[in-house]
Amino acid sequence: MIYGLYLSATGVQTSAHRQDTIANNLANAETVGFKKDLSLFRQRLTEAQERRVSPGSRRPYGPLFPAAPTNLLLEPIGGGHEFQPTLIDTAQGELEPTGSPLDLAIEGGGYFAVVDSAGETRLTRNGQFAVDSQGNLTLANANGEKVLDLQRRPIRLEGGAADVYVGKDGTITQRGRAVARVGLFDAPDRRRLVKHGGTLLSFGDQPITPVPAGASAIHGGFVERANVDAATELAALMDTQRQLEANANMIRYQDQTLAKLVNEVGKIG
Amino acid sequence: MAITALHSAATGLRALSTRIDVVANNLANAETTAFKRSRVNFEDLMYLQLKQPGVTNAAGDLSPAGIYVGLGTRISNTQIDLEQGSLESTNRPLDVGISGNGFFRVKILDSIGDGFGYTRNGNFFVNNEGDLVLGMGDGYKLVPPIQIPPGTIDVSISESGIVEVTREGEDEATTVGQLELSQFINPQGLKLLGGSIYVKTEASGDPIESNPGEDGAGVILQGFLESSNVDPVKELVTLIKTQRAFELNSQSIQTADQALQTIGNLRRF
Repeated sequence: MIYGLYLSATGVQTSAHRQDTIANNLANAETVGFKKDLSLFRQRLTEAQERRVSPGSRRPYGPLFPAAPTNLLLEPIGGGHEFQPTLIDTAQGELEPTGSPLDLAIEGGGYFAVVDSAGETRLTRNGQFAVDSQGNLTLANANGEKVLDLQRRPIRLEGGAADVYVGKDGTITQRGRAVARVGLFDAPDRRRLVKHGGTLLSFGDQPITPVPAGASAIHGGFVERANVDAATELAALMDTQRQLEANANMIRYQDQTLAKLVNEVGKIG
Repeated sequence: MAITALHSAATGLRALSTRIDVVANNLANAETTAFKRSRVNFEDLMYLQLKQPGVTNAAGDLSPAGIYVGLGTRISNTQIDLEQGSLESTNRPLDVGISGNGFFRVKILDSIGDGFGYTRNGNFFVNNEGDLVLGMGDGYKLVPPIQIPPGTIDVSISESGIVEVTREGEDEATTVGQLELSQFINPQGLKLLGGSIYVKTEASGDPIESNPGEDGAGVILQGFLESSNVDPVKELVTLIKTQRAFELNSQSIQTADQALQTIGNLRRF
């Protein structure tokens, strides 16, 4: 009986967690270059399965498996619900025209590389760039992380952002002269992608390599919108809400049954 | 739990309502001479790691990804869009428009910035001392100063900014001054003072002075004023997008609230 309470509680917990993730996705629906998070669940294995105790070889209280489950009846019941690692949905966002020459959007795979204040190389799909007072191409935000070229060097624009044109391969042309090439980088294992906030990402310790020429296109005068689809998110929100309520109701029913068991069964007179 | 969702959605509402403010200001200035529209950029906030990636599970495998929840969004910056506004003919000799990147320099209060203001509003007047001053606000004096002598019947300003006057009773025009234009490495780093005046900041870099027509500073067009570069259609689309995103975030709040209510009412006596 109590075990069931815990199973229902995991349901409430995971639903509330998914709501948090959806709320963050919706809050960032207008963040350029934002990639939405997928909050995934899986069925939790029974405790025996988690401890790799096969039922046939189980010896309760035996020396081999000191922590084996004590209740054999629970074996066939699952362990409820648990989180799976949060995945980043790297699907392409829509390209929105802005007309601003320093707005770049990537069509296809890959990320812009920038250096953050701690000297770490970070990746981003946010191509809203600006030029700082030294003429460096930076992200247009409070920190102004410098944008890197293919050789991972900061990009300097002579005379600032005037008369800049960025071609499909990332070549920056200024007054008819190619001055630099914006680098695009990627790594094979997308599951290792970590978010750092401020639209910055990294692949952890996985090395990043330049995206092969022609594999992705850069569009000047466009930004990539967040790949958050309002309808999908709202449907998921409603679904999660009902799931949470269903599990909460299950808790209530089990509580009532338990109350009956404790208070009424065996009542004399 | 669902409290995180509440806060994330609140960050979304706050950031989006600021964008509504900025769009409203853009639209209010759709007819302001030389007004430059601003744009609000968003970025995602930090992430709460519930489980770090790279943790060893019971089977001895490393988990490739962790579990995290994003904490919402914030405004990364407001960006001035310095795109050229269309030049509107006024036929007034002291109206001058800049076709290019430069700014006129005017003397403002010594206590503000370096004591100089920069503007693209070329709606000039002659004050009681014969100085060429800005038409709006406090009548800031042009730098370097230009004196229009008494008895002037015609003023002509060339594309390269040479100011010539014809006085009553004279056949030939005399040169009285030269308009100069200031450029910045990062004009988006200028601070807005209102009254179409910008002041230099550390981020904008120092002004680079040149004569019109040189170093990409742009040329002067007499009898023209630069219109606001606000595109009402674009602003209205942004307004619609913002309103919808705002509504989505309020849905997150409602759902999180209901979830908290459900959880709060789990135990009824």
